[in-house]
Amino acid sequence: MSDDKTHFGFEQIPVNEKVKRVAGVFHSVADKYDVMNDVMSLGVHRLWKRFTLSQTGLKAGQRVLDLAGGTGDLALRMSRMVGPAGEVVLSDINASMLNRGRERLLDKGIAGNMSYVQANAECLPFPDDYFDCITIAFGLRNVTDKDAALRSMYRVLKPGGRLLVLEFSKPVAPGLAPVYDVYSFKLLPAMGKLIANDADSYRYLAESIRMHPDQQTLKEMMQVAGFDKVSYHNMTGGIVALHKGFKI
Amino acid sequence: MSLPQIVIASFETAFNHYIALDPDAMPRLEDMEGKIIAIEITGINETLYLFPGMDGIMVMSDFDGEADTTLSGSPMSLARLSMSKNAMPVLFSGDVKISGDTRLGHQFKKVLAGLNIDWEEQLSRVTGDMIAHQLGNGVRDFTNWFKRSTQSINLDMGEYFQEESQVLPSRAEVDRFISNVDSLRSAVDRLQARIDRLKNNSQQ
Repeated sequence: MSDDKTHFGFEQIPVNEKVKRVAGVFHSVADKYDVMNDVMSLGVHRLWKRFTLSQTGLKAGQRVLDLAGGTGDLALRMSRMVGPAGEVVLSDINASMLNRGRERLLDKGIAGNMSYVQANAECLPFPDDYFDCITIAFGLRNVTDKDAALRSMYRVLKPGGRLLVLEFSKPVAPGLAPVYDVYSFKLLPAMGKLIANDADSYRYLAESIRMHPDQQTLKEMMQVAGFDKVSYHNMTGGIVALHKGFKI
Repeated sequence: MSLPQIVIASFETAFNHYIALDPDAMPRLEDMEGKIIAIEITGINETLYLFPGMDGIMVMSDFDGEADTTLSGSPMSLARLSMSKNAMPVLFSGDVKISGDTRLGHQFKKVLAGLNIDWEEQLSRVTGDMIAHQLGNGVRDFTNWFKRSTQSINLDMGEYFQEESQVLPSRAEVDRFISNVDSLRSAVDRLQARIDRLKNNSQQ
């Protein structure tokens, strides 16, 4: 990979185009994002998110940042965990997704301790040592410069705060990999076409999952960014993994 | 991970559907938003973490943090605590322990025990008011009849066994017997103490 190229799925594209291309994908899937998540993961993404919530250790009154928060699944529940005295910041780089999230949360009556910020994870617009917890669920793989993003998250975390990265990873369960390949390269785009009428976007999702660093690599990236006590937990045979790291 | 997430998720959904049947319960839960209640089920070694909020209770089987209050007990005694109007007998018997923010524990328990579900109203949404009311009357009549019949059967049976066939003793006789056993036990204890003392004296 040359210096000014990055991957977009399996394609190589100029670095400055990635943000635009990823934005295109999410603008086009925003409306059907929730339905597709349920269909694609057979509803299991809810369980992955539940486990993520259980690892936040949030208490009433704390401040939490939900990066790439999309349609607000995690933010919804975290708003309840931190209570009226706490604060949840839902952030996404993509205006369409953020708007969907805001509408959805307002419709559910979530307001008061929730704010919305459109931001790029690589250069977060928050002061140093600001959040007790940061979550990023299925978002890191779409970030162009992941190392910069991890450094930026480290900066805005309070000492003692934690980062949780929920992301697709490398299947480790024996025999799962070939099944998973057929599923993500054949079935997934077909379902994308059927439900969202947008096979290309879902092909990108499948490809971007493959280009994402595996469990160990991401763990090392977090350590390089400064995180301590980094650990990960495989779910559904390693199809997704939750990485946890602390700022000490 | 302890209990599978899917079991907990299903439990949460069912539980929230149940609570939602009482429209008064939700506002009471909202007061507790931001608090964490841990339920430690002894025997099966499971802990559930409950996060009450305005739209129900979120349940987790595992939480990497601290709870504000912990209720621990066996499944049966926890069920008794949540059903009974008066928590004192269960708490004083030591079957269920509350630690941490005890006020919160009591408040939560009160919400559970205070659940008052108007089944007739729920039914009327499906069948309409007329049928629901008729069915409601039917159920009320039946339960009243059932209560009255069991009461009179209990009385009649008791009377038959105690007075007619004299197989069972009456309440007063049992009480006297129990108190006699108690004084006999005390007397034996005193005798034992005296024997011990005499033994000690003779050895010296």
